[in-house]
Amino acid sequence: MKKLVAVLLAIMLLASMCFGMTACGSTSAPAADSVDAAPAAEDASGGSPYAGETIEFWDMAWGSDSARYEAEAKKIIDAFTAETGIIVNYTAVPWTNWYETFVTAVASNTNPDISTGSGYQAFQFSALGYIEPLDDVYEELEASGELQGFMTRALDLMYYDGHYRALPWMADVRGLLYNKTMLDENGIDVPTNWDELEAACVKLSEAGIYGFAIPSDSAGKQTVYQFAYNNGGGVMTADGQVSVYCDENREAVAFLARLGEKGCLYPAAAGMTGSETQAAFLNGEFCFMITTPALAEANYDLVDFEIGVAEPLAAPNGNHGGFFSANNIMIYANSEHKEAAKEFLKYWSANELPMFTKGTASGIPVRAEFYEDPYFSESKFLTMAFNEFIPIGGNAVWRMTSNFPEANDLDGLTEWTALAQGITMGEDADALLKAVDDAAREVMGQ
Amino acid sequence: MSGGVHVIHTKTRAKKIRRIAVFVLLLGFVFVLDFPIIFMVLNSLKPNDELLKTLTFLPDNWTFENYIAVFQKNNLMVYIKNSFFLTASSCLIAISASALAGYVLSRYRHGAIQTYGSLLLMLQIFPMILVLIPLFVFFTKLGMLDKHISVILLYTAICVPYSTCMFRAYFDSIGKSLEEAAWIDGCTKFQAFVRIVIPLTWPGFIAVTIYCIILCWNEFMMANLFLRKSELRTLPVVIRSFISSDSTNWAQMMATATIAFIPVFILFIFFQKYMIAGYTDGGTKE
Amino acid sequence: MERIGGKRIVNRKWVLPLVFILPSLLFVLLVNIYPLLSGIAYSFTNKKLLGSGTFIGLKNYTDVFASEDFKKSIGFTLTFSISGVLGSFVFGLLAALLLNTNIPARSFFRSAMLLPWIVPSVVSVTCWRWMVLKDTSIINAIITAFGGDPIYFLSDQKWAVVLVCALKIWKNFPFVAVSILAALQGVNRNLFEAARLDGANSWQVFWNITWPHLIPVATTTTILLCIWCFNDFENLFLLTQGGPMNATTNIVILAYNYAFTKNSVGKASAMAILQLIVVLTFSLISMRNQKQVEE
Repeated sequence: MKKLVAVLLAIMLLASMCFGMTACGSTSAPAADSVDAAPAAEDASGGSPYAGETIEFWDMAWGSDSARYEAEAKKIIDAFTAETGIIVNYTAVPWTNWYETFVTAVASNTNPDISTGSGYQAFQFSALGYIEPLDDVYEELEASGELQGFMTRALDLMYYDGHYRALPWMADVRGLLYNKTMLDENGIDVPTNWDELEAACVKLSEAGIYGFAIPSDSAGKQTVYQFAYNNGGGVMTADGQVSVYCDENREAVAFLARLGEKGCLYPAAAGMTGSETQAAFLNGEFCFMITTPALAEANYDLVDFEIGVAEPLAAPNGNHGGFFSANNIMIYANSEHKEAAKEFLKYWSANELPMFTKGTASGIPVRAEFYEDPYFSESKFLTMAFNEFIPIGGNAVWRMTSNFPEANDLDGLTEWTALAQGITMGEDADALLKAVDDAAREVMGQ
Repeated sequence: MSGGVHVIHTKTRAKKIRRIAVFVLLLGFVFVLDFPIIFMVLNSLKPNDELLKTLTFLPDNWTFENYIAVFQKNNLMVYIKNSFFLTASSCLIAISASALAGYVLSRYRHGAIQTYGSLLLMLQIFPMILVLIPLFVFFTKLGMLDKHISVILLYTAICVPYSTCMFRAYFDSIGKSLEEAAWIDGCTKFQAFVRIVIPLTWPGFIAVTIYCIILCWNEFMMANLFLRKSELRTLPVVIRSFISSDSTNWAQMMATATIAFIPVFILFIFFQKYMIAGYTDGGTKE
Repeated sequence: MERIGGKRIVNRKWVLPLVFILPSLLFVLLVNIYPLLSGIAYSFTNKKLLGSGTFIGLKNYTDVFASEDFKKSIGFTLTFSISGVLGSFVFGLLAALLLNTNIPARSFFRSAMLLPWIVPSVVSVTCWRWMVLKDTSIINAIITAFGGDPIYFLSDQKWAVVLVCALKIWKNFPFVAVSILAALQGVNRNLFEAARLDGANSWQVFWNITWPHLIPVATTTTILLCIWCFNDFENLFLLTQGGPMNATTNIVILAYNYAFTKNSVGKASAMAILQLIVVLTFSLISMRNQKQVEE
């Protein structure tokens, strides 16, 4: 018996050595192997003065189907390499623990040359000198006429402390999605303002259907933003003072709390993530949800009810508004291939259309010319998003129009999550809003 | 006399009934206990749309498509190899080092050595989450990022404190008399350790080894941070990465998860036979 | 002590222990001590994630003591740890005793009962979440089939706590069972027979023969369980993210939030050090008791 065990252990050891050799074999492969770039790029037309350089590009997992997203990304990269001779190593970064990933990379100097990231990441890192200002890229884009095609709101957000810190590439907007079939079956019209929304939810709850769902994570927080901004409120005043506990916001939160008191809020949502709540919506478990119109577009034919996206609601005071953020691409100050990275940045930005049309990117483009593609022009949801949601939208620092370093901390306050959950759970929403205000003041030192 | 035989018959039948009853009860208990896992395995045999739309227990359409997809599309063999190599190496080193240290802690009651024991216990208290950044910076300075050796060191360091404490406990529970006899007979301390102590505490060895194997095989946070290149990833990282995209392919994730837990399960079934009595025959009568 | 030529050389009896301890000591120093010292240093500064901080003395500690969420997290940590340790230990002990007897299909049951421990957290926690997420999830389906109202475990502060405690016990009791089962093997069977012949019942056999033998392993296991319950991050993070409304946030999760979302590594380290001191004190006291018992 003992001998048998000894033999088994020896076999295990040997096996692990064998596996280890092969595993080690793969780690010793050269770094530039993730993309099969054409080495004879010098023969291609033009070529770049930076041909032969290798840049590291980290891209977040923006696609709802990550395999398709990466496939489209690699195609664009291959085309870029063929044209310029610059090699690009693409790494897909999952959203789990993204902040740790980037912070530890930057702190230890192992960050890439260029990356996408969260909406406020570039500004937080800028304040510490880790991000390369992109004023020259903006000037080049302006000279070539491309800059004029970018959404102004998106560009404004990129400006901090005298410089443009990043280039926007995808806008995230939020609208009120609804289950039209559910409304039709209950004789309810699509709401156009808050009172109609409340009435619709109450009528649905009389029919035993939950009207509205507020998820627990950032999607829940954005629901609060949506209604607060709709009402003319905002996280900050235009001149930079924290205004989380202002009257407009309190009214918005009170409205959502009222929905809860009337039993219209989907109870499980306080424990569900945004994606889980979206899946429940697509499964017909409740009627209304604040989320991206792209969800409606992507799933229109896939669900057994009719999805609708409502026109922006009118708040009690007649105001229109909503949440919008501009995801962007940043270049790192410690990069040794900044110019090559900038060339890639311009190319990537100009050629990204397939990421939306085929790569299942979850937002909408910031470049107007992309909307001429039938994928957008023939989609009533996406054209609505472009035409109506973006011009009224503000991001996590609204009513300020440009980001700043603390924006990341403000957006990430756990008190927002507690507020979103508390509304569904029937807690004192006004007090929770005050808690957000206190925490925001602490972040801003006010 | 016939009354006595009759009594024996009913006794045997009663015993059989009792055995069957115990078996059924245990089976029921185990079913409830392992329900999440059974559910996971069944889910991996459903096509993904069925998983999302309906909530059935047994699959309506039994299929292996998830397993095929996961092996072909997602290149699962590489990740299995990675997990295997890391776990085997870390455990081997950790168990060897800990057994030696545990023995010393058990047999030498001097203050300085006991302080080391307390230190080991103390070290487990500091949560790994918060030491992540200094560790990451430290390893990067040594150029050890994206290399298996860094994770092996980390896993060994995680396993050692626990293993040492457990080994000390197991060694404590057997008396010194056999070793002392051996020393008198001319054995060195090391020989006595290997030839006498280890066989007596073999079940303990197995228990600690299994614990370390499970710990390393299932570890997520460090593997996620230190092995970022996709060809170096381990199974838990791969499983979790299924969730992070907007539309998770749950069925494939369940398939990957099932594949991830089977090797350890088989190992466990195999080794638990050696944990029963019979292996400790020859011990002293305490 | 040997003296050669008037010089003291190292006491020979120390060589063996040192050589035995050295390998593990190296790992421990390398990977554990350095970050620990960094952590202690950070707790006295206002370090943010990027860049270094300035020394601010005990301000982090006073802020932490005064904060409401820290107090709430202490309450939960205690609830979670006490229920986790008690539940895991009792169930583990019972399971070990059961598996040590002559039940039918013993090998199968042994493996099947210990499954929760073997499955990676990522997987089992996801399965649990799946099972309790909505009113149509399987647990609620069972509850409603029995005529009850669905319980929204993840949206209710009290039920979320119940859920995570149950998860922890579910995950941990196999470890206790395995450790105690291994220790049970060392009990001499002849003692059992002698006791039976003397007319002892099962409880007396257990208390007088089995239990004394188990004490070292049981004590170590319990101490480790306490430490793991205090330190649990993965299970809570994966199941509830510390919610809803921080109902299931223990000190570690709170520290993580402070470090990675509030960007306050100094305060996070202070919390971790405070927890370290408490658990350390507890461990030292337990170990001193254990030594007294043995002597």
